[in-house]
Amino acid sequence: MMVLGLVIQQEDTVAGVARRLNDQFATARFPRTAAYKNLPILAQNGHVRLIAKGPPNEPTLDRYGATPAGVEVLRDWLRSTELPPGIRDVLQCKLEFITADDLVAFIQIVREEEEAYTAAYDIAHSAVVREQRSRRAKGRPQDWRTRLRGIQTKDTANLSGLMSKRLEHLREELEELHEEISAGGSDGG
Amino acid sequence: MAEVLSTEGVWKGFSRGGRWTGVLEDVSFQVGRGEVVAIVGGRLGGKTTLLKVAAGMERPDKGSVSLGDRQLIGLGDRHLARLLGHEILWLDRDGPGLEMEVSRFVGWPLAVCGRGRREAERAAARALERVGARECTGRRWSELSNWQRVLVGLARAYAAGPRVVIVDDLLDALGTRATEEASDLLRSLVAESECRCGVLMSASDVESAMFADRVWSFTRRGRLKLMSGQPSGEGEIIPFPQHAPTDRVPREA
Repeated sequence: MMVLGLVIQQEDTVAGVARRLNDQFATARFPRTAAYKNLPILAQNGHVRLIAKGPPNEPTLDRYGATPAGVEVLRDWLRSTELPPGIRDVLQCKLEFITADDLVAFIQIVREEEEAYTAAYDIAHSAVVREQRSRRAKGRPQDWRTRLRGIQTKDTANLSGLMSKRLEHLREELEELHEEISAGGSDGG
Repeated sequence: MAEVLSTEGVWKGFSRGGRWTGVLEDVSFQVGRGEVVAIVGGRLGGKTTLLKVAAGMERPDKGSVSLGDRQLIGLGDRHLARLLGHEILWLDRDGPGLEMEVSRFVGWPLAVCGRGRREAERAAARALERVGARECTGRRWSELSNWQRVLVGLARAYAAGPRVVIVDDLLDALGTRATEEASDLLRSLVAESECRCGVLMSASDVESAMFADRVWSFTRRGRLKLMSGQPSGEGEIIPFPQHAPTDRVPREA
């Protein structure tokens, strides 16, 4: 759906969509092949159309544009909900399987993720503070796109801050468990 | 950046059921002039204790707390009480006794430092006007909404003109727009003091601390972890990690 959305935003080559997918959804880490695989399928389904064929043997330079049917599909997706939303949390899955022997290494993984989220929070929060200064100096921006970007930045800061705090709690609880196991207070099985 | 408030290596614990429980462990932080610093942590985790120690209202078991170049530890109660009304202003949701009239509450810090009742009333009226809470004049604390209590608390800070404003959970769970408004008022307070004053605030969630210059996380173990902003006097930029965890986002393209 992101690939379709990007083509609706602007006509582009397969390589261009792949680059924008990586830039605009950096944290999602979509597979590099997502644009290459999905654009021909979207074209088959009539959601995008081939506008200009690239040089022979260079399918990455094929240029695609959106069709009205594709726009409709994206609009339906934007207005649809998935309740409850699926959460694919790798740490939660790993918690299901770890043993006492894995605990120290697992705590280290949680710590690294916590630090990464804290760094992401720092970046987003600094942007929020800059936006606040700008708003106080120049007034609230009138352009709704700029407003939307401001809301998105706050949401990013919130999300990464919440994740940082959540992982901090998880790490501390696991550290306490580890201390108990080390002191012989739990069977660790 | 000159510091208005500084804690260094603070430890504090309580005896619970005959067992000593640590609440603050080796806590150090600074609030610079013109800065808003937030401490984010869960409820009943010890944030209020930390703020009370920073305000001189509670003594730490170990460590130092200073207001500018003055050590708060070791000051006599009378001296501390004068600082608390005048140079350090404490704001929380509890406010004064429920029956206290709003103007009296707002002007109180000026009245206790000998500025006279009339002047305190005039300053209170100006401050209530400034924060947009003129309609609260003449009402009692018990009659105010939560948002009006926030505004009246901030008016008190405007009227008193302290060196440090300590805000305990006052901005918690206000919602995005109200948090923004309250934060703007805090920013204006700092700006109108010509950046002479600093603000230390606690919050239960990151959203309530969104507009602080620096955000510390208060951990369950009573320690501080810097979440955003540089420690006073340092300018190092934290790079975005290359291994940012993102497996939570479904990989459906």
